[in-house]
Amino acid sequence: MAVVTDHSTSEPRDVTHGDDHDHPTDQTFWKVGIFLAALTAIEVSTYWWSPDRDNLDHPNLGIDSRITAASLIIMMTIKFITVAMYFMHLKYESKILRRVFFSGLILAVAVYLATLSSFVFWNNSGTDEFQYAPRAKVIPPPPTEPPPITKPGHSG
Amino acid sequence: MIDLATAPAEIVHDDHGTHDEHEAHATVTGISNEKLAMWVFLGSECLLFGGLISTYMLYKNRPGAFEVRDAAEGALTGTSAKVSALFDIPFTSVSSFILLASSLTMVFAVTAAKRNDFEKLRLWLGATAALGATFVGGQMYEFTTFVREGATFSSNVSTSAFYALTGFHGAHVMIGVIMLLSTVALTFRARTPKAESVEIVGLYWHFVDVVWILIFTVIYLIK
Repeated sequence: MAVVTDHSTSEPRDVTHGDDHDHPTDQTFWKVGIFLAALTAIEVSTYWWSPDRDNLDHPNLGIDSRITAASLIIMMTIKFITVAMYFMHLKYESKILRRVFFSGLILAVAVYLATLSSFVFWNNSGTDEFQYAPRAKVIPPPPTEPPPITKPGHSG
Repeated sequence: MIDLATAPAEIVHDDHGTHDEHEAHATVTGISNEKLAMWVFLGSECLLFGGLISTYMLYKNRPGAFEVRDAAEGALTGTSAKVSALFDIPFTSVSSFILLASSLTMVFAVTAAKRNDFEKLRLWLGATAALGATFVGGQMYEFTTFVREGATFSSNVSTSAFYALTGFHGAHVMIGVIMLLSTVALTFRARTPKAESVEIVGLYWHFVDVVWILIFTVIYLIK
């Protein structure tokens, strides 16, 4: 019996597959793997870029921790997209799947960022009021009764 | 008799049981129902892990004191607070490389399945499962070390959030290992698994890797 291809469909071709019909070769996967490993190595190296507040003896290059954090987020995003596009095959899949995946992802990230904002995550992250459990109220001691007033000349 | 002009292509295979990777699916999207179901499931998993990551971010600097013990001597060394103070970045980095490598072996397994090369399929699936199991072993070692140092699940809200997040991820890796080993077992049967079935297992595995990319950066590396 022969393999049957579905010629009866009237759908445009790019609905069934992405516009790139060249499927990746093993060499492509090796290149992507090496790229991801190199990016992970750079990510790990950022541990020694900035000082660590938890460990003051931690050797570092003295780079501002905000720059380190921004670099990490960029590298993380690149790694995420690379794995999704090549290893999860989104680059070679239907366009509709790619659109649904990325639009849903962006929406989800936006919702979580909004939620974190509602918890005042960004503004007060360094203050005691937000970061630590509320302190116990200090209850003042009950007022002591004043000593009785004694009139002069009435003693004895 | 099957009408070849109108029959869905996916139900008709040649006598050798080969599966064309360009096989058209008789669905509106052109994606098989099984694969679409996995993508929808992964979408719901995104929300689960998004919630767990957000929870950790909210509570990571909100400690109640727990007693940090010297792992070797068991003596109290203070009442430090954050679970992040216990992280061993070089060790976790090696674990991350192992999980990343398992994604690479998984794509080779999918490629082998599409070529109907079952010897290589078993080899790559086995390698992926072994790497995944190594990762889980590393995570169990990390948890054991943390508990010995005094940070248990119920020590404070930040340790609870940490264990919930990384524990859920570890459980997902463990389930993935079981799925991989089950697929290897299926290849020994007379009716071998379809290439798409291996691809769907691969989607799950890559998702687990992608989640670790987020966790490793957000939880371990960003100070």
